[in-house]
Amino acid sequence: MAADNLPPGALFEQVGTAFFPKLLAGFLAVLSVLLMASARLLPAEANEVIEDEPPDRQAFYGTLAVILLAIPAWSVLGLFATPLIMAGTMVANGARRPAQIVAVSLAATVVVYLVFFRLFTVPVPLGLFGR
Amino acid sequence: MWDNLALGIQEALTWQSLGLMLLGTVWGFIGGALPGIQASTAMALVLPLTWGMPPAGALMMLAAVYVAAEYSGSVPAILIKTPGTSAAVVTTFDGYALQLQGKGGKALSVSLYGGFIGGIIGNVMLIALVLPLSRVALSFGPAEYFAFACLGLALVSSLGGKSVIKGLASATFGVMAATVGIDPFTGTARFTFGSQDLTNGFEATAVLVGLLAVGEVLVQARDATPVQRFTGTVSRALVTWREFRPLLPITLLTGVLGMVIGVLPGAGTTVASLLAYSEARRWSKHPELFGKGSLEGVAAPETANNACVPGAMVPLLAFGIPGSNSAAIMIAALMLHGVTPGPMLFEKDPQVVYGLFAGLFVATFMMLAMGRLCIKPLLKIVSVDKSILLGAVLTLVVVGTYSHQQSLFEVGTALGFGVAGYVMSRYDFSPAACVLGFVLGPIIESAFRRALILSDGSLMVFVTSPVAAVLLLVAVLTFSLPLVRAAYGALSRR
Repeated sequence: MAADNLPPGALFEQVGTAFFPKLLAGFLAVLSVLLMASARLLPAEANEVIEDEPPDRQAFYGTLAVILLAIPAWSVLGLFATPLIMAGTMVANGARRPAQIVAVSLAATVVVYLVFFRLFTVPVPLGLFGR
Repeated sequence: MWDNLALGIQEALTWQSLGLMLLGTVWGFIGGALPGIQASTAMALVLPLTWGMPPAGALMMLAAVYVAAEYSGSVPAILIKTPGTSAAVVTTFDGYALQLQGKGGKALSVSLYGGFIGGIIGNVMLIALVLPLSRVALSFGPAEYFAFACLGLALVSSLGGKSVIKGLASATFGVMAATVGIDPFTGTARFTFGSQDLTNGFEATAVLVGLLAVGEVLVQARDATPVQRFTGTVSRALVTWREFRPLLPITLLTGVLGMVIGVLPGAGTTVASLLAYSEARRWSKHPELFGKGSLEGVAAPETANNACVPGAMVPLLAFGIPGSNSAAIMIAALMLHGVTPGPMLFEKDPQVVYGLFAGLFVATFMMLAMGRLCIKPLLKIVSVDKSILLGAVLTLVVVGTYSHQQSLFEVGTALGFGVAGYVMSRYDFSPAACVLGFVLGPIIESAFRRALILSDGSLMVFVTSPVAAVLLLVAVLTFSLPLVRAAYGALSRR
């Protein structure tokens, strides 16, 4: 639909800017129809997503939350968000020893600082602390 | 050619290149040994770091990661029956049986020597094949390029997972994502929705890192299977020359086989190791030992998957078209440095191509030299807590994608594509095919539109060129034959 708003092709080109995305959208529509047809034709087990173990929902949603919060944390705290991302992911995935979590998170931050910001001289983001 | 090769060797033997390859080898060993981190994921994680490096050095470092990761995937496969990379699944069959018999050291050394021989065979064949093929590529017009890229996508989609349709849909989604940004033909902004950040489209580094690494973090987080830890001991006895000599014919055969499979788009190291294993069993004098601790059963897949690494470079260097995820990352690294991949690379940037040739040899020797030294540290890394591993990967993704252009938008792109990659994995779509679609997207669109401009808008250009017609026909058959077979099977069951 967004491709409909694109201008037509230049004089030298018959197909234009919108043609290729529209072609892809059409192809995806055909694939969707084929997918629905295969879901009807094939036996149910062929379409099932099989899992050996019950999923670890707490770890999954915890990690997803860290992913979603990573950008605001990085924009506010800059490099200081690194131990929070590390510690958050560790806690979400079952780490329970506070000493280990703190030590690993701080060590990861030091390694990141040394590799990225000292060795590869990327400007250190400091978020609000840098203003 | 010899002058250029000398130039490449000179480039690979500078202290800077050797240092980068050493870093790449160490990181490849770590990444490959960690279950859940594929060789391509390990490469994707260091991709943002290559930004400040010379193009040849960046490619050499990525090649070293690739070579080392393909070997080290066999370490947990042999010791704890948990393959570090998907290609090492086959190595668990006999490698773990040997470890249970107290012959873990022999299995590890056979894997190392096999990988070394495979790497050398692959590198020699790469140099022999890629120059003639690049001349063929120079004769390709846009129609042929379009057809070749479509064939690559069709092969990747059909070999990638359970469903060809889902594979192709994933690849198409990748191509679609690549259309965002300024249209290079008309200068019109497409799907940017007024955002300045989207003007240049999604950054390849962020998309690749997101799909391959963040998606895998979510998959691993959801997976409640406890991490296998190594608790036993590894015998120090290595394989002797007397034991290894009978394996030489099978390593040579599977080395060539692995290289050839590597050249085929979409096939990759997993297919190579599986085929090598079944061929080795077919040719073996003792097929009954396969699965029960056969050294041939370790040598064959490990030789093939390391020979596959240079094989994957053939379509990349000769045609500028990646045939695997790892090759797609190499292309992304080239594009990051403004180097256009393809046959003209041999003329315009010989130090990059020949540096890569020489770098692959050096990386293979580094793998051999460090393979033995790294086993003990790798045992510790294999048993690392999952929470630390996932935290480290996520931290690397955030810092790595930010470091590229100091842009939070890129971090968001990586994380967003990561969630999309997870959803794909969860419902049997293929993030790998999506990665290839994203990298091939601009090549496909540009070739398609150029072909139509040259033919005055006639689609017949894809049929009147015999090469394009044959390639497109094979692509259509690759996609449609499994569908027809499945439909026929379903109808005959009713």
